[in-house]
Amino acid sequence: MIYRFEMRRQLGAAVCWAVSLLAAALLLTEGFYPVFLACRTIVEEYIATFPPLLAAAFGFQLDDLFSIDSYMTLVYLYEALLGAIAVTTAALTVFAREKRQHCADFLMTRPVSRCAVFLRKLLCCLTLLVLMDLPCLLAQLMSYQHFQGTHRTELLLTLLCLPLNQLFFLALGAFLAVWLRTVRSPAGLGCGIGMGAFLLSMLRTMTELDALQYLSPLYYFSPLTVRQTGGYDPVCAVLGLALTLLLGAAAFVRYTRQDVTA
Amino acid sequence: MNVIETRGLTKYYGRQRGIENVSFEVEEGEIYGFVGPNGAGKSTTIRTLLNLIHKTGGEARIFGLDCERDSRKILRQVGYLPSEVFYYDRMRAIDLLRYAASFYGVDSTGRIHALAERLQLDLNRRVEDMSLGNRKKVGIIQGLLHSPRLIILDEPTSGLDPLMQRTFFDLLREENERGATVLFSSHILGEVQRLCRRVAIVRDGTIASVEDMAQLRGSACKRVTLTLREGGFNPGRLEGVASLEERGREVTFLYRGDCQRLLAQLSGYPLENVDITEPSLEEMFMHYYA
Repeated sequence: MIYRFEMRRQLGAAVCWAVSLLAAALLLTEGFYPVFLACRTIVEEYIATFPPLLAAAFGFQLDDLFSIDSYMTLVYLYEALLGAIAVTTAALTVFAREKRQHCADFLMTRPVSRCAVFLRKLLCCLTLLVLMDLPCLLAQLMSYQHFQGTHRTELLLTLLCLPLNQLFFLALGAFLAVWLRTVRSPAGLGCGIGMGAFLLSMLRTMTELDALQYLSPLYYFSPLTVRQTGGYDPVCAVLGLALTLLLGAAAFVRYTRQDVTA
Repeated sequence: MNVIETRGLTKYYGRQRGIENVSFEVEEGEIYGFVGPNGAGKSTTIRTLLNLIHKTGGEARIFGLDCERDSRKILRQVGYLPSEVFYYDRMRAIDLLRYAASFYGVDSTGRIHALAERLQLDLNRRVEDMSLGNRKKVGIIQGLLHSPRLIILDEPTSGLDPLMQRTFFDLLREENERGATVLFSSHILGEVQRLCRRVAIVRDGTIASVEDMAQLRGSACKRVTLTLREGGFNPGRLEGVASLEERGREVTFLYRGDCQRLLAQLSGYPLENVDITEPSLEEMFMHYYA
């Protein structure tokens, strides 16, 4: 009941986000990449005028930009931003629904355990994540094949970067929804968190400080690392998964144990 | 059999007292009142029984089951109407009620429509567009649609007009005749007086007293109103006088004791009029709480 209820409430927003992610993927690969290739000389001259740090912040590393494999690492940053906002907003909306509408009494006096409520809401969020990402990932796969990418073995790891990083934001959204006293605007908070993560990533690439990679949740599972080393950075990957589990567990414990105030 | 049993039930909000050492039983098939002023602990007790808040100490059982460990089993047979009714936005009443019914695994469509007709509620309107009274009607229906064994009501009639209140009380009586037990919490003493067999008076987080309504009504406590021709009223050595008020020549008080002694005392006064009646629960409550 709860899963179906939440899915019905969130499906419209999920479709919008799926279309946005798909549009971004198609625009940046099928739309922009051929133009990018055709104007290679002009682009190289233009990017050469950027201060090196600024170029790095936006993902323009000239020596390795024009193959589809490298281009997808550039595109990833912008898709990851959209994906982070989408899934954080979804998690905040789903887990804080009763708090925002003051109807926790209605749900918590039904014959259903709080554990079951939490797990069904979590399942809903995971379903929404898949629905939002699938069209985009399929489009990226098609683009990769269309432009004859060469590193097929790393393709799956690259494609999985987006959903794996989004799991962190899903857990963060659930954590904030449960622990914050009020959630006035899930969309506002989701945008803020997504942009904050994006800015941290930019800071990391600008400063090249190794320590900052551990504070950049958009890069716990990084296509750049996959391109460079053939896999994920083990420390970042473990950190990302550990933080995801920790935030999720903290949200679960609070949700199932807190008093439902009138 | 006791449907509700609590022993030393205690809830603290940090250091602030919610309820302390609350012990009472509600028998199967009775309508039990919970009366007290705002902040007395009525809602805290109810919310602890429903596992909405976790107790600090003591025991609470419904149908012989522990309220925390077995809350899912308990809630299958409980209908609850809270004092403040909030629901999901962008939902029609019928959709909300169908969603509520889906948790019980029974087809309640017929019952929903029957109750809605009785309460004159348009089920196709969005809940957020409804007045407080209509939202309360939605609350009544969602509490009764699965024919629960125990109905718990927290200030249920706020927002209902007098006609609807009467319809609601009729509904409650019918449910009670069907076999349901009712726990009725209110600060409107007239409602409790009308419906309940027993009433617990809650004060400062504890139960001050549990009174049987029939005994309360049949007790020797009387409300005495005197109109004197002249002079004042001095109870003297007459014991059992409480809540004495004098307004010009009119004197009113509550009296509990021997009627012969009362009449003997009154015969010494120049009386224009004497009125001896049953006190209302409110008057008796004010005596307890004043």
